Amino acid sequence: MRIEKIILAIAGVFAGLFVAGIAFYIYQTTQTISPSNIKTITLQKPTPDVNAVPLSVDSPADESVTSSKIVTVSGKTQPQATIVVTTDTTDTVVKPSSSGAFSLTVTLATGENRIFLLAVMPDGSESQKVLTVNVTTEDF
Amino acid sequence: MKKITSGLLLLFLCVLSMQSVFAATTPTPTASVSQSEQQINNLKDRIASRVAQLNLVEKKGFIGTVSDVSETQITLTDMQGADRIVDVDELTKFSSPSAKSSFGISDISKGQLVGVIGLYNKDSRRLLARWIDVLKLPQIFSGAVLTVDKDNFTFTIATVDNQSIAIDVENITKTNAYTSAAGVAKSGFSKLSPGIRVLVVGFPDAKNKNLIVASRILVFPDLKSNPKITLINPTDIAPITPSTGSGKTLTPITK
Repeated sequence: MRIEKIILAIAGVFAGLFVAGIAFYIYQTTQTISPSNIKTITLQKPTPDVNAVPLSVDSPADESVTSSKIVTVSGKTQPQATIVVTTDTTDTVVKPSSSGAFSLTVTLATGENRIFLLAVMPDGSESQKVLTVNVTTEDF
Repeated sequence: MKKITSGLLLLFLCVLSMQSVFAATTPTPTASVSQSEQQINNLKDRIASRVAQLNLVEKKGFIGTVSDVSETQITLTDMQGADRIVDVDELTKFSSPSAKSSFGISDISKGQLVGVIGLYNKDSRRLLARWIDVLKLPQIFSGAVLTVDKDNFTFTIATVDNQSIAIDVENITKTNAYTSAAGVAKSGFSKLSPGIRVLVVGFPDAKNKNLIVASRILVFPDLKSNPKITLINPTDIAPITPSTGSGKTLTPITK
């Protein structure tokens, strides 16, 4: 008698789950979304900047403080590029080595100075960088 | 017996007092060691604290435009567009090229271009200023020539961000050209033609802020202009009124 009750209870639970599943399926299939509520999201691939020229500066460090007015500007770019280094008072143009490395010296004024670097490829594509280099002989 | 007892008592007191005097003047070896250890530990702590302080603080300097100013603090917008906080104390020195007398934080106003040198705290990302200088720096433009007005010695350039900038050439303007064969050599206004790559360094005109009075022009006849630059039709560009340098504006003669 007890076993029969347990079997009946289990069968009842399964039957209930089956009916609830069918009811849920029927409810979901009858749901419709109006076209105005549908939003199309297009994931755009970032367009590569084909004109950017790799330009890295090893020295001087941006926002650095130095006691010497003569500063070596060195870095790396494409070997075919032309490098223009402009300070607030002078312009210097150099060609990098076959490895793309470049190095030159510039003379800065006491206080805050900007060094503007421009790398230009033969096709006209370019990269720019601006550094701030500070010259002071005073200790602080 | 009494005499002997009082004599012994006196001797005992003398010995006791002498012992206490010696104990006070001569430290015990244990006390000496612990004291020197304490001194070494103090020194170690001070060195460690100083090293940590030196690692946390570095000398730095940057240029920015004043966006906010108070009695003890200046907020700058640097060249990358980021906000930078600068602390000012009694050791901070101020200077300005146009200041005739003493110049201080009360003379700093919004919109001024200033350079700051001081101690930068990596943790708080604030700079304790030692020098604050109001700057008048030239502007640098890289672009391609759009139009050339040979009568008025003016020309316009287009930059990579497709800005059109009017340039005025004065007697003080130094014009050079770079070629791979000759390097940097002296050049002139006549070498400028539409489409050519140039680098211009100059200051905004006193009367017309949209006009740049060139102090240096570097022409690149060998290098192509940036393909990103749109060279618009020259007729779409408004004519430039040249600067007289004295503040007077010349009006072009129309026939």
